[in-house]
Amino acid sequence: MKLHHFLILLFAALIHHSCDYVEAPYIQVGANGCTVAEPTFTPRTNPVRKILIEDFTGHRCGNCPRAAEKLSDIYNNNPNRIIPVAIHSELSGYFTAPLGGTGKYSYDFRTELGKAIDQKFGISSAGIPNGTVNRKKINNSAVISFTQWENQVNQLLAIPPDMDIQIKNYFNPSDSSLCSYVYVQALSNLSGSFKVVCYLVENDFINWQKDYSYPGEDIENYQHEHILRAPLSTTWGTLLTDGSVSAGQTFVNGYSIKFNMERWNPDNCYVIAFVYNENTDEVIQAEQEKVTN
Amino acid sequence: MNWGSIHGNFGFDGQYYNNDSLIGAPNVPERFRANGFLNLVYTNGNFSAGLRYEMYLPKPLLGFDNRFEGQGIPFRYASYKLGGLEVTAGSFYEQFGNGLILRFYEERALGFDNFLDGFRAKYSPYKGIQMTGLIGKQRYFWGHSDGLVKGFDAEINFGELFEKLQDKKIKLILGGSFVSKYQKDQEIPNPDNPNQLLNLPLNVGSWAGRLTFGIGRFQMNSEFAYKINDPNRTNNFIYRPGTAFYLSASYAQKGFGITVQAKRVENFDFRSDRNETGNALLMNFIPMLNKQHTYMLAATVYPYAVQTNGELGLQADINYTTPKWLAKKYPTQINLNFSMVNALDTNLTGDRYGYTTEIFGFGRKLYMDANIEISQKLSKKVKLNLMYMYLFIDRNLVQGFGYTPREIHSHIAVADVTYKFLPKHTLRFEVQTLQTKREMDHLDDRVNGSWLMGLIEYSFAPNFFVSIMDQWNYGNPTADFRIHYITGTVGYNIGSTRFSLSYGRQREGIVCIGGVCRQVPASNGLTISIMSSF
Repeated sequence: MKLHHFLILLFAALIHHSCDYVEAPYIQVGANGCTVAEPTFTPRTNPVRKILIEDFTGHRCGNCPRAAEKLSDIYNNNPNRIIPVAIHSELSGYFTAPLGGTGKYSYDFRTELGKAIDQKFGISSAGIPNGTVNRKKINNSAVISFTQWENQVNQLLAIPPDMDIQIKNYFNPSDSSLCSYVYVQALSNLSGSFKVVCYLVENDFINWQKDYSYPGEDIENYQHEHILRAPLSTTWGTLLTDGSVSAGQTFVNGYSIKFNMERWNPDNCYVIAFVYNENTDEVIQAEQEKVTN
Repeated sequence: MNWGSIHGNFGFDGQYYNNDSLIGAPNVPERFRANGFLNLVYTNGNFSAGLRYEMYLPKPLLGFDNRFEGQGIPFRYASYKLGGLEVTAGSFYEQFGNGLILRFYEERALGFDNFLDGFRAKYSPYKGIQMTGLIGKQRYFWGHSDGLVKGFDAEINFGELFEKLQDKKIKLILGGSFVSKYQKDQEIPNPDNPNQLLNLPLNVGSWAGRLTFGIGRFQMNSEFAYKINDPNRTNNFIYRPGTAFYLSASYAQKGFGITVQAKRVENFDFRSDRNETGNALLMNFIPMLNKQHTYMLAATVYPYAVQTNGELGLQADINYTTPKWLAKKYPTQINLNFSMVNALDTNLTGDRYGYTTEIFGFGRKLYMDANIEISQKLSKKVKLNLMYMYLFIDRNLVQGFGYTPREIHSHIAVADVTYKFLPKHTLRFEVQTLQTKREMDHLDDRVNGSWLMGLIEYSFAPNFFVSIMDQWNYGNPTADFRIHYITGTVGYNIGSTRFSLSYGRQREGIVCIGGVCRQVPASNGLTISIMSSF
């Protein structure tokens, strides 16, 4: 073998061994990620449209329990059709800021995620309690007063679904990791860029709440519901299609998170997922699934 | 017996610092700081060996990275040539093509030094064919990079290979290179979700192909480079691959020359450590396509820093000298230069891939420079140089201070007169002005509004010179910041040794060489400088 033949072979070997191509979603699989392989999903026979309601609230907001009650009514009146999220945003200032020490209102409900959503839709600057219904904009604003939620929900529920979402959760108590697979199936031809978003929420969390209609105003054992805890996807989600989607197309994305066991109780947690149109920000389908069975 | 020969050079820069809070000079408790170096190279036939001693005591001069503090011999090598083979062990500098994927070099004035410590072999099997392979770790102040660099380059010069081409005045060079870095795994959280860890590529490869072609008076040089997923701190850990393209074409004849250059750079910051920023551990070099100005206000008030993670740039440069038949006693030399750099217009994908963009996706304008320089000898004794320049810069984008526009439009004019009043005795005068609007929302900035600058220099060839210079930010909206930065300098040359002393104020700013920049704080004091070679 001549020297330059040898060099060419050496060069080829160098190239071959010197590139690590990483595939999307670029997140580690292993100790802190999904150790569970992607499951198979079966399309549902009668999918329905479900509605995402984001309730921006605060533990020291004395009028906020009125919005939570309204949300609870809507949730109970439309079984399995409503995906609620309660967001305690730092931008609400006094209402959400924890008090120092370990006494009442010392718990911090706030998350960076909640702040980012607030920043985008401008809820706190409109004042709380307020919220969004499917992040749908009316007169260019997604902020809807809680007294208008029901009306908005009823209008949206009447529309047949454009997509269906299924979630499968795999919680591993040994390392307190959760792996969630989100399946999205297009039911009609749609144009626009669509993203899927996946968050963690927690129910039945007992802590202090200010309530102006409660004698003494401070409720120690208030049951907080649907608290937004953390993102599993990124804040604004994973791109599904850029431009258009046709009926029958399916997408599966896996997300993982390490549980903060000191703060979150897996048995009370839900994974919520929704798909929105990036061009309008409007949510077109939503779903939730318990973390543990 | 042949004992071989030793040659080398040394340099010393020391500065006494005065306190001067008005210009924003930091307090230097040591009062005196110095940078020094000595290069020694021993050659004997085909063998050579060298080393460099460096010293930064008690700390590096202001504006140099404090991590250089100390002294030692970071650079040492031995090299041997045997026929077409040349082997180097130890420290070395290298560049593949235009440097798009690999350039190890030193720029002393910037405090930039990224040599590779390792092993290199160059092999030329035939005249006109050259191959280079290397492996090693980069200099990191007084230690080495965490990452390992491997590279291979091959170049075929057809002009040297086939003599017929030379007869036809055709030049053709083809080259290709491959560079890879390896860095061990780390726990890096997903910037979008700190609960998740990124799946990092440990081996990041890149390749480049280049072509130089010349025929007669025309010549072109182009290179394209590609880099696979390389999430790092400078690109906020995105996985999109990077590309870089460079093209330069020129035509020259007597009295006239034109050069047109273009580049497109996307996500091409390449370092041997994914966590580094600034100028540390850079492995590549993106050429700057802007005129390298020499006049103070044009070069240093609003300099351009190359945006290695995304820019589109163009430059045209024309040189013209009036022909003899115009019957002027002295010809006029004219240089016209235009350059423009835009950011890339990107659409964020919202995930770790990063963004999508078009080939000609011109985004916001970063920098623009349109200038004309006229040089005219008026008599045997007097020479005149005039320059006008329009300069646009978005300071926030170029200096990485965020996306809020901070647009500066400025007009710069320079008159430079050289008067040789006696043989060997020359006086030179410079007057410069930079005219721009005050930035009322940046009242804390000591570089704000219009400037005037004047210089008088006397030189007695070839040994002695003395000069005094004043830069005055008379247009600063903050009255206290309308500062005169006055500096006096005396220099003396003996043989290949040059001494200089200067005293005065140096304003805060950014020093850039070839688009690579460093931030320099203001200072006030006495600077002593010695340079020598032997």
